[in-house]
Amino acid sequence: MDIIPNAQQQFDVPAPPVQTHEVEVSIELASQWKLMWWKFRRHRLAVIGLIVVVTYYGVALFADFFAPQAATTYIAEYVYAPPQQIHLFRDGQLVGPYVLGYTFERDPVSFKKLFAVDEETVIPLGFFVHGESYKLLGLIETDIHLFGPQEAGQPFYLLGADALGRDVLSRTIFSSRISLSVAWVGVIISMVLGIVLGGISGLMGGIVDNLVQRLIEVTMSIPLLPIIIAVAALVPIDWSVLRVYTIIVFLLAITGWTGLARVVRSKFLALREEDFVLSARLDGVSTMDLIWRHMLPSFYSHIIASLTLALPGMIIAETALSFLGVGLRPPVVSWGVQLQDAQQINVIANYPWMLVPAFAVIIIVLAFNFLGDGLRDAADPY
Amino acid sequence: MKKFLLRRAIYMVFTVWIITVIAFIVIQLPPGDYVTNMVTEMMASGTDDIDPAIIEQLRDQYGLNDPMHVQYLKWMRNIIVEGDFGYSLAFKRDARDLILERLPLTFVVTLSTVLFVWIVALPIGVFSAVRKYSLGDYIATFIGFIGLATPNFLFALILMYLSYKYGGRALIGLFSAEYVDAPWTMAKVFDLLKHLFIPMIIIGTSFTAGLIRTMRANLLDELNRPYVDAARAKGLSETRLLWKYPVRYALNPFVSTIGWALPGLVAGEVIVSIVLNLPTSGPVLFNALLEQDMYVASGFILVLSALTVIGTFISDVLLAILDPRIRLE
Amino acid sequence: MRRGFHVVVLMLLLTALFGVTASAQDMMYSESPMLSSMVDSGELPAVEERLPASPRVVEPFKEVGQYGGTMRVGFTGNNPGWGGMWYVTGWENLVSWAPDFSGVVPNIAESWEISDDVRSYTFHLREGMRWSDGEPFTADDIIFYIDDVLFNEELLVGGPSADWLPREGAEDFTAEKIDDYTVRFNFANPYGTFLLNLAQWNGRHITWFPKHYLTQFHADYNDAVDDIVAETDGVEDWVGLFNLRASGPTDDTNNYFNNLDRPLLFPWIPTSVLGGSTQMTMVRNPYYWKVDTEGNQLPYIDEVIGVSYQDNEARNLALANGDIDYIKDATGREFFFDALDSGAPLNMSLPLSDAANSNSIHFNRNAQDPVLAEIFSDINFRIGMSHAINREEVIEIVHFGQGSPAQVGPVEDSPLYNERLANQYVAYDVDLANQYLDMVVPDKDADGYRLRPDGERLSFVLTVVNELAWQASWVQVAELLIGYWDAVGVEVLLNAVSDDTFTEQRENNNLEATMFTGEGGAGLTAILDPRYYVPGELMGMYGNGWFYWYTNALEATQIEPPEDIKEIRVAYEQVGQQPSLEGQIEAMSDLLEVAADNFWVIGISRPAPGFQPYHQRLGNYPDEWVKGWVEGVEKITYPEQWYIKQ
Repeated sequence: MDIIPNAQQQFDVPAPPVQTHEVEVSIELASQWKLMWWKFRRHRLAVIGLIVVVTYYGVALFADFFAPQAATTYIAEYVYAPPQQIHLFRDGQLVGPYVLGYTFERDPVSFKKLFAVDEETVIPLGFFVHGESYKLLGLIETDIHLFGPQEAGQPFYLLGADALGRDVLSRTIFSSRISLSVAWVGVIISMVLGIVLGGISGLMGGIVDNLVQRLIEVTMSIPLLPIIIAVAALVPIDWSVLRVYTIIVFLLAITGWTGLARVVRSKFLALREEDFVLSARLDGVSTMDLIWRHMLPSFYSHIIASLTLALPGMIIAETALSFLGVGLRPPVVSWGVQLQDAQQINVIANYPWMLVPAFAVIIIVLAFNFLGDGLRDAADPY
Repeated sequence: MKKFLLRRAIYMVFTVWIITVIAFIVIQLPPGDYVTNMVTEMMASGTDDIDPAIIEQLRDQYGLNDPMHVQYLKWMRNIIVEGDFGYSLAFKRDARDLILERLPLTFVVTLSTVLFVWIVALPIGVFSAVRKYSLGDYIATFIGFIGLATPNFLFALILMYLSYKYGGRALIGLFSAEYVDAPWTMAKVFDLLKHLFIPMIIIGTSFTAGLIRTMRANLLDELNRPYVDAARAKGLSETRLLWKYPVRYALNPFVSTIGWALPGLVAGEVIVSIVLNLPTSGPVLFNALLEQDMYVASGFILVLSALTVIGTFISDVLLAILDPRIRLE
Repeated sequence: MRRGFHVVVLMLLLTALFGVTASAQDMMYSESPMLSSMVDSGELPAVEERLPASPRVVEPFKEVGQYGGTMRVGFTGNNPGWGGMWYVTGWENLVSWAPDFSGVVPNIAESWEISDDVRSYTFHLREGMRWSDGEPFTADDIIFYIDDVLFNEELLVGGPSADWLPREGAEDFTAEKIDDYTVRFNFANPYGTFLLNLAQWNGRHITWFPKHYLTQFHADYNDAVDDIVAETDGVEDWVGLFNLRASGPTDDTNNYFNNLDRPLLFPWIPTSVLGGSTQMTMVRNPYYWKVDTEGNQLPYIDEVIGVSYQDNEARNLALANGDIDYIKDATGREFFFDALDSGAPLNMSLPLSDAANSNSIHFNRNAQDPVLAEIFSDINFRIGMSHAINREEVIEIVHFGQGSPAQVGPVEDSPLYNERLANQYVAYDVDLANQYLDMVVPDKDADGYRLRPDGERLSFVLTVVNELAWQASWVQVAELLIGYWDAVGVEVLLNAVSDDTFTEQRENNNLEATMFTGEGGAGLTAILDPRYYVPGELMGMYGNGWFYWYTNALEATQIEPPEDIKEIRVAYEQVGQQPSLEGQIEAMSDLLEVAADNFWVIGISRPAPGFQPYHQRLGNYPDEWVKGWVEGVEKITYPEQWYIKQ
């Protein structure tokens, strides 16, 4: 009963049958990559996926620059303020982009805030404006933001405000850092585990193979949920967010490796009978060399595709764990943590812009899937 | 064949045993125990007076102060000797009864979801393999994948809210109020089918993508095999050509997913069942884990993992029978 | 609603001197049609024989109700009792709260006398009152509890222990049966607040144990009890068996929802347990001993269904649907008022919280880090931290702009109101905050954070319960606090945890700073629940180890309090010993002065008004009421007089 069915499923992609005529790769590697790229381009959704993925990671890397505000900046009056509309014209004249401020009153009975657009408060927007200062990539001190209010500190809520009056857009941008990197770390751990264990199992056979097979069976059958709950409760109170986060990622990785391991194993089982492996052995190539230099490259493309397809499962899992209350928690800013605030009917009904992070998740998960699809198609020898 | 079956059977028992050991340890790993949870519940209610001495006495009474291996051995012994899964501290009931009561509806939800997934995923998979990179392929793939990309709990919450807002009433649970405790009648079955729709879609859509992809890949493999060319050369119509062998062969690996599908589906089921308040095993298991109602939690894990292992075994054997190309190890 | 102090005093004096006798003589009784048919078929005796000679008369809140119907109550989780059913279908003690929380009125006890030294209480029970199985409820049941449960060394290994019994002198407590319907309690020390305790949760056990049913599970009465133990799941000895069947004394009281055989004194009794389905059902107790002013036997409602929800949101929607009639602690104020406007079958009641504050902020003086413990113990540190909080802003953001800045202290119209305790150090003044903090931790590092005396950066963890179900806004408050404190150079790290983890950390004294509820506001609740005024109480996490020292439990967590704290405890013991209410109020007022001097916990705001949606077919539900733990949550609205409008 693992919590990330998707991650596991993705690895279950059946491997294309091994084709010996394809495995002259070590000499013609470059041309094969070229071939793949050419094939990849035919899958248009995959190309779009690639663009989206690159954009996401770019935004995550330079989040401070792309986000109009810091993740913690808030204005008390703008709690749950709806998204502002961008205007270009004022009194029939083009004045450049601006938004209007809000005034609000409270419903005396339900205490709900009723916002009204304040025509008087004009907040001109601009590109490359000065705002809160930050360190770009942790190195360069600057206060330039891609876009935002021309005068720093003025209320600017393009996608509305959350329960503390913070900018949903900015927070969603900052969330991508944690959420997108959780996915990577987890997938890399499962990939290494999968290749090593699957490889050993397939190459050595016999009792080792049997043991690894049992391990795979246990891992796939054991419910991950109790393990996550246990570990979430065991974390000492003074642990930094980063450590908790590493543990969670590790947990996600624990179940992710089995699918890839099975694929790698079956590949190796087949490959070790191949002529080129036999001749490499006869040439006295060491086992490790054999794995990494001769056998793995013959299905790199498959591994890359599996990896790409496993990433979105990790992203979804992060939100699911936050929902169950065993994942990341505030003050961490991640999509899962943000969506925790949105999992109330009250919020969905009255403040639907709190669901913005969900769209961020949906788009990136789709993008990864299409990208992975394209990669796999490209890797296929057909 | 016999030897193979026997060996696999022994492995199965071994695997299940390992799982029970791990599960039993893991469930008790979090600090505190069922009594801690009780205290927390009282605290959340507002009580200002809980005598810690009484709390300690309660731990003794529930046998929570025994060392873990003693508890485990007792539990295992009772299961093997008496078929007794232990006792639910939260429900004050036999854990086995509780598990058995929840399993049937869990299967109803899970199996109908599998059915839904197959019905949706297979045609899309076949279509997008045959019409690779066509607009139709893109649209079908997109629809198939959108469910995977949406976090299940939000999907469920939003559907629930939309059914309230625009359908007049929120669809919650598996039965209307009047049928919850009613004996089984046709009317109750219809009521169930009506409610089953939402969880089926929510859980199902997160699995269609995987199946579409598998189907498409498998079929592409088959379509490029020489026998297809040969058949085409002999003048077989494209439709017959497609359905006669390639689709059939492409379906084979599906059989092997039956066993592994179970844990994944149950996982999807937990979250959706919590949100939609379904009377399935997921929420009980989840709560048992949180509350450390350990015999219920261990019992569920034992049953579910045993079913998974058996399911895998069966699908392996089925696969071997269906596809003679696959040899048993 | 809070009628002020004179009414309270008057009521209590009256009841103390004479007791109040319901004048139910010469009443013609009627019963639910559901029961009439059972009487006609001979399954049940007539209503006159089922009711006591003088039943408890309950005045309907709005009108005399109609019989019949099924009330559906939604609760969260697997425990019907704590999920809310206990407050609706249980909670019957010797005395109960008046509906306006102005004082104690007779309930199971028809009347009582109190000795001048408030050591001896004589209760008169209702003649002819019966358990739900028809067996008489008499003084023997109470004596059985005292002699065979409370003083049984196997059932309570640590000696007599009960929530209503002061720990001091518990061994010397005695109870005697005067006649079948009269019992006398003799306490070792004066115990002036006994009646107030009896009306609460604390008083539940005295009338909890049906002797005729429980003796079969008691080793002193049944030599063959081991046979029953052997055939009962989940128990290993008679103590476990007894606890299971009795839901006490050590077992969770609420477990009676899992036992269909157990006789009760409650308006409804369980007829099916929670398990395979998501519901548990209850049916009216044919022997319930209350009537309305026209002699109609209560409750009005025939059946109650408890519906279990795993997640709060489905429960909220089910109420808006009209699928259920009532839920405890609805969440999403805007949603429900919108639903009301758009024609959902709801009515809205506005309960007033009995709390003193929305939150209490605790700096644990028993923190494991001795340097932190030292800093936290310095009042100037706490004053500084208090002045650093922008309470108006917290109120605006988190509390819908409702409430007013305040510390944790009894509210204005409570007889215990202490102006200084309520309002000191609430001003938002960063300069002042810095001045106070400079007295304790003056030095700062390069990043502007204050340094501890040992040269390390002053940094600590604020642990906050993160449970959407009952404390949705705490993490938000904490995030704001961390910002305010950051501005005065104090680094605070947020640790949002599940409530189980919180309990665990509390029991292991892993807390540094934490946030919790703000009890002790309305009326006399400060005397009854002094956790934020008197150190050494449960949830008094500003001195987390002291409570465990006093209760002598969890050895590793125990910390012996310093002498001045011990003196405060002694003074608090004496509050309860005062014979008169005036005396109790006076003694407690002195203690509240001490609390103001010590400034134990920091508060944020007076609690914002609550809201309580309920199905519009539910009649006799109050429009306004005082809601809180001490009042029995819903019990003070007398659910037995709710009815379903046909």
